[in-house]
Amino acid sequence: MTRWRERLVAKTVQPLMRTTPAYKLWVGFLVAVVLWGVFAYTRQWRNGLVETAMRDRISWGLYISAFVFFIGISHAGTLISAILRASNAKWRAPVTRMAEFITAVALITGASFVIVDMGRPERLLNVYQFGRWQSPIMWDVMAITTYLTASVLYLYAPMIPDLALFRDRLKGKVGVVREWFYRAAALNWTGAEEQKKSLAKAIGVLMLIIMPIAVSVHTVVSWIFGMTLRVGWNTSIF
Amino acid sequence: MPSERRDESRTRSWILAGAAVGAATLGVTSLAPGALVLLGLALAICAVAAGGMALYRRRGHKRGRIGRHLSPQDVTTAPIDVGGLQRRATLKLLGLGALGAAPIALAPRLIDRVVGGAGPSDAVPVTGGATSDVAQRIRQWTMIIDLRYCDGCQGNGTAPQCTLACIEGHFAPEPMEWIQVFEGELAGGGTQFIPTPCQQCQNPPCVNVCPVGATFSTPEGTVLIDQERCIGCRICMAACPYDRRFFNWGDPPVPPEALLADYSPDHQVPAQRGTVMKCDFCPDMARAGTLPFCVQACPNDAIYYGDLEEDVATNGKGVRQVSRLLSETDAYRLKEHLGTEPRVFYVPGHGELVAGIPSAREGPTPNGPGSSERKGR
Repeated sequence: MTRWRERLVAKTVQPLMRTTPAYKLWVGFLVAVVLWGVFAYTRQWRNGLVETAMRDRISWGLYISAFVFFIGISHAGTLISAILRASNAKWRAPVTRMAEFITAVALITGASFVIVDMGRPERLLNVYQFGRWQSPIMWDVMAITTYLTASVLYLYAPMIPDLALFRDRLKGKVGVVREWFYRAAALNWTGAEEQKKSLAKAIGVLMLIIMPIAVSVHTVVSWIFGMTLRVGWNTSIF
Repeated sequence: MPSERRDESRTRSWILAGAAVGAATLGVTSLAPGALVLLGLALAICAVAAGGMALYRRRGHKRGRIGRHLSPQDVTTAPIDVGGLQRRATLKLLGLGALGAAPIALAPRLIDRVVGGAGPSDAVPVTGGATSDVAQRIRQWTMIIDLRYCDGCQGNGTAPQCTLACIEGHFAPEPMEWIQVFEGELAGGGTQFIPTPCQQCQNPPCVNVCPVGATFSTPEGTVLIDQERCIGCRICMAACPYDRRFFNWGDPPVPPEALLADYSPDHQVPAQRGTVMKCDFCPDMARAGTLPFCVQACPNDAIYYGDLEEDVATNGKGVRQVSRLLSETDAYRLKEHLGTEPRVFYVPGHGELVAGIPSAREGPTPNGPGSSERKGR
């Protein structure tokens, strides 16, 4: 059992010490895609939303539908990590960490689409300064911020034992900054029984909280459409 | 026991911290409602959470508040009596939580503050109810469009004059048509022309959904837009059932005359990229006693502009009593079933009273359409 566990730990820790050229190539490619997006956005910043070819009748297009899509994707992550945990489905264990990461990243991406869609993004703080709670967009800001916070916490909490593992195993093998990060993020985790009980309780609470939050988020997003009087949008079945 | 006293004082300090945060939130949210309510809520929740942690914390081998009278041997065998202790701890936690609810008590006041008065416009005179002093009176602007006299300017052979005059007068950027003449099919064949300005709803969906309050209702019943606050999210455009709001997708051309005007939501010049614009019922002109551009420009005098309070409306040629005009002609509003309560009324018709244009039933006049003898009324 111990030898098996040792091999498992070694396999987990090994990618953190060295990155393969294939990994670097892949990350390089993704960075190039991101830079392409940045270039496109500078064009939009300079010329206005006329670059998107949206016009007055169909004033919401790919940006908003992509926003809705990515918020939906984040629910997939919550489904696997929270709902399947609540129903005690053991097979989710290998994918649950990845699912939670997907949730957090998809939420940030979805929220970015809304900002990119704004006609005057430099006035984003108007939403916080003059925000009207009667507006479906304010509900959406509130709901998605809450969901993002809860998701990040739900991602972090089960990671604490793993971060402690890295802190212990990677001492002296990685840079000072990373060592400090592992030490800080592991929160003095020693693997003691009481710590495990405490953590299990915290994860349980988060799991119970995040499920209604996830349901409410997509409800709120649909209200952005449902609270208009546009034919087809102001009903649920059309 | 010393640890108990320490826990008690720690709890007390967390309760004080929560109270301080709640009080700070109450004081500071009077300054800027939106951000600080959120911040206050967040801080209060943190205080509650920290207080909860203080109550439930266990450090290493030290026993926490719950089950503290038991020894390690009892833990595995004896049933744990946590009833009384757990109840007390829970009550303390709830007490802390009540502090987190402090900002919620403010909510009605904040909502009133934001919804109650006019928005950022200082140009609208808010002087109270109707007075006998005509200059001080708060009007309730309305428009009545007599469709019996509207032929979409087909008789003139030009584009609709109301649309053109509005675009010229307001320097409306292309291709916005703040008053737009829609064409409808008539049952027996033929076309009906319906000039459609902003309906200036009394239950405006655009105002209801705006996240920053950039569009707002005035005491005069008009709906205006503050170009300085609009963030360009376009939910108001999605919400308007009449499709009367327009967006500056690119940089709008700003003529030099527009730059001379001081900024005010009353006249929407100069136009700004990334903001929404629409018909505003020309409030600055109306207050000065001039009719809106569309009313002035109609060659058939089909558009009336007036005041529901004083019950008069004029199309530039004659003055009519609004209530009588509306009831006698069976006037209607667009999309009544949506409950937006628009201020634009339509007298049913299809241009049949415009001389020289054949009506749907009568057939062509002897001289044909577009004959020289043309008068609205």
